[in-house]
Amino acid sequence: MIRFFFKKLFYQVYFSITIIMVVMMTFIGYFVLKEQEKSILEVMRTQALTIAKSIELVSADAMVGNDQSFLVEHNLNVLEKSPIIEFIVVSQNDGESLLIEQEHWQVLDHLSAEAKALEKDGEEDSIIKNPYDSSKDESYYYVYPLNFDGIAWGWIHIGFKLDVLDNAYKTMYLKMFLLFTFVFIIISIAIFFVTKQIVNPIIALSHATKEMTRGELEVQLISERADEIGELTQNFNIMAQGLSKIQNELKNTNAMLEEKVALRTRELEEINKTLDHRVQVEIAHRREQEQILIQQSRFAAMGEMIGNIAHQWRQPLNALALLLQNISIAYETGRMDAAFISRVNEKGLLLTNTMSTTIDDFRNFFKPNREKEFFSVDEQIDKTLAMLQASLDTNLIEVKRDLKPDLKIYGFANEFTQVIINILNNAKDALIENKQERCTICIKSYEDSSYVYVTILDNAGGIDDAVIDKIFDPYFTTKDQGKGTGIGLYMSKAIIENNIHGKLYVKNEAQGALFTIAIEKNDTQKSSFNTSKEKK
Amino acid sequence: MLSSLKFLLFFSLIFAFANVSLAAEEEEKKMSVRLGYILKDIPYVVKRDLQLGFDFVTDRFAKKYNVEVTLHIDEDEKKLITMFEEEKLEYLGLRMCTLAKYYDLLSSSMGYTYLSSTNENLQERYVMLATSESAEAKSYLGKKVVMQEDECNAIMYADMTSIKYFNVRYFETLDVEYVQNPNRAILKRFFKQADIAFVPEKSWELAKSMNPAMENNVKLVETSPAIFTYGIETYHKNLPASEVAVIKQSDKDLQDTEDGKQLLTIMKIGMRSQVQPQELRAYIKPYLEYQKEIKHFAEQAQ
Ligand SMILES: Nc1ncnc2c1ncn2[C@@H]1O[C@H](COP(=O)(O)OP(=O)(O)O)[C@@H](O)[C@H]1O
Ligand SMILES: [Mg+2]
Repeated sequence: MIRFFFKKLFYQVYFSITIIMVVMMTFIGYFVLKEQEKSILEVMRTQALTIAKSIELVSADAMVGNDQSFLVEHNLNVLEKSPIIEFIVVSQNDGESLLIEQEHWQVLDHLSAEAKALEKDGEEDSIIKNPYDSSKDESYYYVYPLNFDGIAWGWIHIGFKLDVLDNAYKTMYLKMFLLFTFVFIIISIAIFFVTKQIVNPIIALSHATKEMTRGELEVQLISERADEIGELTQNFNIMAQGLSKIQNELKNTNAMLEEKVALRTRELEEINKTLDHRVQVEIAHRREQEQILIQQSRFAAMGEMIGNIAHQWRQPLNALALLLQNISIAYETGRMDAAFISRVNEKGLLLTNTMSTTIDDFRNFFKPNREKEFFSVDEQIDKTLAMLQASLDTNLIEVKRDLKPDLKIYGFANEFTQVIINILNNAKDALIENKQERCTICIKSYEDSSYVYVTILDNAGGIDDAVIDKIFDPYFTTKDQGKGTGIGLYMSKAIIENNIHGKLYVKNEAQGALFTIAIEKNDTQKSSFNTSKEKK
Repeated sequence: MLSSLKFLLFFSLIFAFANVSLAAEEEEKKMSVRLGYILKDIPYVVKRDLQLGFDFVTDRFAKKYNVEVTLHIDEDEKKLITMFEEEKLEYLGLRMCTLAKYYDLLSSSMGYTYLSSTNENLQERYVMLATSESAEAKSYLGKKVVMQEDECNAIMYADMTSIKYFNVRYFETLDVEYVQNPNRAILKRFFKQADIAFVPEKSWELAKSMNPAMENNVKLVETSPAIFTYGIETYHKNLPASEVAVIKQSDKDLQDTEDGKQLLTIMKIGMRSQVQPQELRAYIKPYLEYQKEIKHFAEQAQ
């Protein structure tokens, strides 16, 4: 509640000024009161002095003549006429002292130490407890010296009731309080109006800005003031007018724009209709191209396969030809007996079986669209190597095999084989072109926490830096017409990236090109890898 | 506007009214009362405020009854008494002891008369105060005596005591000092400025209450019989009845109205009662006897 209260600018300003004023008034009041107290005491002192002097004047003869009866009587009269006096002491130096109180008096043998202490050189005053009547409270105690003809006769002590002083103080405090209350009220009211004067325009501005934020830009404030606040209000009005103008312009522009947009939309709709048609045509065209590409890659692969089959078959065909030659020689030489025939038969069957297996292997490879499955990387690579064995052997290429067992990849095994065949064929082509003393292809598989890697490194000297960025492009080839198609690596990359969620990339090593296939593991593979690692 | 009109109306009404009453007053012949006071017979306490009291009488009281008051104060008692007899004064204020001296002369001209007293005490005793060493009156022969000036009662007591013990008039046996008031007399005794003081008993009681140590130093030797100490206020018997009526009314008002009460306070009159002149003889009996005694003493001396 209070916090809310003080959040309001008006109260903040009002209370701040009021507090400053109260502090100032208290400050001034404190000093005024101090001065007043002093002057009240001064008045008291003057009064005491007057009384003492009058006593001195009237009693001088009696004092000098030692007429104590007069002193008693006179002072009793003085006391009777001045109820504010509590007591008078006439003390003679080296003599008795007379203590005269209201309706009472006595002869004192000696003065109290406290009173005696005040008899110094001249007038002296102090507020002390009544030394003559223990039942009384403090009194204003005044001491006045009596000198006659230069002889120090004695002293007059006058005790005033403190309630006179207290009453004076009380009246003074009351007066001050009333004055301050009056001034406070007047000033409070003044501050109230001043604060209002200051804060109201600000509040009005605040309201106006609120209205503006709600969109009411036609706000105008009235202020006839010539000061900064008036100026502020004026400026606000100008701003509001400006904003209002801009808003109107905006509205017009908006309307214009809307019109334009509507027009454009209609045009666009028209265009869209035709565009739709064009896109469809384009897409169809693309699909056709892709089909062609796939077709082409199949053909290319097939071509290469046929080359491979030819190589595979070359050896058993030669053996068969030799066998047939042996039969005709055996017939001519008459060594064709039953044992010979069964041996030849056995050999011939073995050879044709080998050839048949080769065909089966390749046919399997070309059987498309099988289910995705987990397949073992080393097994699949071994199968591929077996298919290519003859052609690699023919070209005196040694394959170094470093395969981690039990690595598994999820995907189409055929497609993976096709990629390996592509890369190996490229390596073989490069090695044929770039004859080395010992042609080697290192094929390696391994894993880390998230990938299974297969790398194939040859020692054919690598890929020309100028073309290394383009080798994955379709139809890019450096080989002669009829030999290279430029589709192999393009398809390989497409298979790895799109169907097996892996990556295929290349970099040049010192001896040759290094192709890396990195296949992302699925979650179970990852965790099993981690646990197995931990076991180690 | 309206209120100021009202105010004007109110004002003019008052003015008209005041004029009428003033005119009415002027038509009547003003009654005149001449007051005479014997200076010594005015009590000490009253003397101080006499002017104030008289101003009050002329300003408020006299105006109210349309009376012109004049004041005659004189030290010479004989002169004032003669004036009263000759009807040059309508009023005379005096003490009982003075009345006793001139009773035969005055009683024939006294009319409407009042007894008044500064306090409620009807009677007063006087005391003889001496040094503590001796309580014997006889031993004070030739000693210093202090008394209030013009205090006829104290003087009478001193005189009678002197005659009784020493068979001489007091002023012949004693060294007399007169002081302004009895308190002072007691103080003088206390401070050994005098050996004997004759003072009213009530003053001695007051002095003791003011300083109980007094009694160590001041001894009461004797106390007088009680005597009346009234003041007498008397109007001449030849005053016209109409004037007496006015005076009676004003005297009545003195006790009943606020103004009257205030005047009585100023003049320190605590008690006031009407008395028949012939009744006064009973009140002043001790004074008359004293007069007789000193007359006798004087005759003896011759
Ligand atoms: N192991 C390699 N060493 C050197 N160059 C290679 C190697 N593999 C591929 N290339 C280069 O990449 C090109 C593209 O290969 P590819 O897409 O299979 O098409 P193609 O084999 O029909 O030329 C090849 O023409 C050859 O220049
Ligand atoms: Mg290729």
